[in-house]
Amino acid sequence: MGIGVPRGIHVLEPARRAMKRSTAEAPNFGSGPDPLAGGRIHRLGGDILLDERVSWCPPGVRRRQPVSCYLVRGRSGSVLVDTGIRLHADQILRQLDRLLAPGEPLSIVLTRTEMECCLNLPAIEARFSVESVWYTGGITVPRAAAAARRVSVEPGSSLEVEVIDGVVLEFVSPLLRLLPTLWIFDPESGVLLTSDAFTHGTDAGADPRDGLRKFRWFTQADTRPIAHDVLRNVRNRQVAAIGPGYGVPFTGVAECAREAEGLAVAIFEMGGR
Amino acid sequence: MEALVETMSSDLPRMVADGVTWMSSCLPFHLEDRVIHGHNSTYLVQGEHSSILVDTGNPSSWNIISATLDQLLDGRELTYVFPTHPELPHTGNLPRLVQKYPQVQVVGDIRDYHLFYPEIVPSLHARVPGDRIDLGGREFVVVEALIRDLPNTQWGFVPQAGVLFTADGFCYMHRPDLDDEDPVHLPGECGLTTGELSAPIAVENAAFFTGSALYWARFANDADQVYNRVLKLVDELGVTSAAPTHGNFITNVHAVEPIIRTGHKQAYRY
Repeated sequence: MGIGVPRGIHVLEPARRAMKRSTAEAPNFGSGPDPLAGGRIHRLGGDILLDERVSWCPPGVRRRQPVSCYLVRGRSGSVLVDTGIRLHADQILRQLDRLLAPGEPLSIVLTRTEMECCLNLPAIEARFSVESVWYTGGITVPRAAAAARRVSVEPGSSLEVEVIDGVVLEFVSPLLRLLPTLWIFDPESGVLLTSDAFTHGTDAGADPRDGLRKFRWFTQADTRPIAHDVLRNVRNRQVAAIGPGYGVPFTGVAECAREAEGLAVAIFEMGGR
Repeated sequence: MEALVETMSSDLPRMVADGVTWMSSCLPFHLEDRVIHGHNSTYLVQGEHSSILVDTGNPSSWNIISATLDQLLDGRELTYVFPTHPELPHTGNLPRLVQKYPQVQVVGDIRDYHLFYPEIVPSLHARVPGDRIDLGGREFVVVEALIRDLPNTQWGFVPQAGVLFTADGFCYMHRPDLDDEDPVHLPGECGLTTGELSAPIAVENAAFFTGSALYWARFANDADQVYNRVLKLVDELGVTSAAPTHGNFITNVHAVEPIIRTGHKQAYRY
């Protein structure tokens, strides 16, 4: 094509090939919740069988994959980022039972209004004290009494929001998306929750291309701004852990930076320009 | 569940083609400085012995949809549901439909549905483009979705009626410009076809939808390539009307297509 790798994107072979993760890093996600960042954030949900029945499954793959939502613990209330898939509804309710004090205020942030993010809202709202539901995009979310907090964040920018008393989160509006999407950054822990991005992590290794199955439109697009945005979002924040909506999280500043570079390269190379 | 926020025009439901009834509710979008409205349509295709519902509508419009189905089916069971893709406006009422019609078959690209709606797994039946469903005197043909957001999207076509069901394709925001502070529908326009509207669809309304719902259009400068394929499909199938989920029923496809194409081009911005 005559166009080189854009400035700021370094092709790191170790990030492109499958990397064996240490056993210590492999999550025990049989029943959860799984603590991230020293207990500030817990990963909730369960595993699915990733196979041809799943639209984001790479060709020929058949393995277990975690599908996750995340609870950010505050001092006087908590924030649930996404609500998980309905296949895991009972499990998620049990996990919340274990983590939340009776009557503890809870706010919910939806990274997308898509099915894997919002369908457990009614069950959670029926059982816990949900004050508000934050979301972006035009779709009406299935909430009952909780206050609807629709936010609009220009793609490529971010917004700090005190979601519940004492819990300030940064709503990052990424260029990497199919539909209106937020990534949620917790400055206190350094954890970046990335919704349907960075979904390529497995217990056995990580190939960023495996997480781009649903972004096939990249092949017709100039993906350079998207690749730069991925890098910028991770590098500018000294991200200590990346928690995707599906796939195994990445932990450690160095690993997060390496995965961001690998994902940026994969996005760049997939682009049609 | 959320209080009812959608309304159905008094002009709907309405038969818009042979055996095809347009049902729609109107969804308000709350922007910073105003509220705009968009269609959230479902279509019922009825044959001599079977029927198929294209898209399910939002959960918040269930009461309207359920009552309208009662009226249209007149005691008969709904035979099929064809959700074009798994988003709330298109699939949100699937569990209620299966509960209301226990024998109904949910047909289409059903990838992911077992994760989202585990209770309806026995009702799921995969279909691929080219598959034909006999309704009795009419067929519903599954067609590849040439314009889509989610990968598991399909379109449908009823040859006897000439209607192509285009999901998020051929969509636009419906925003008659009364003025900037009062952008509500003009009375009665919700239920009009594009051939009946007093003015053509505004390009900026098509661009607004495309840039938001078909986000990839911001990065891919391929509108001509996409819409040339669409026109080829229209000619090959003999399409006379297009039935989008979000927009008026399109009776003049060849007049509307250039507007949607131009809106798609305007959405390209990076």
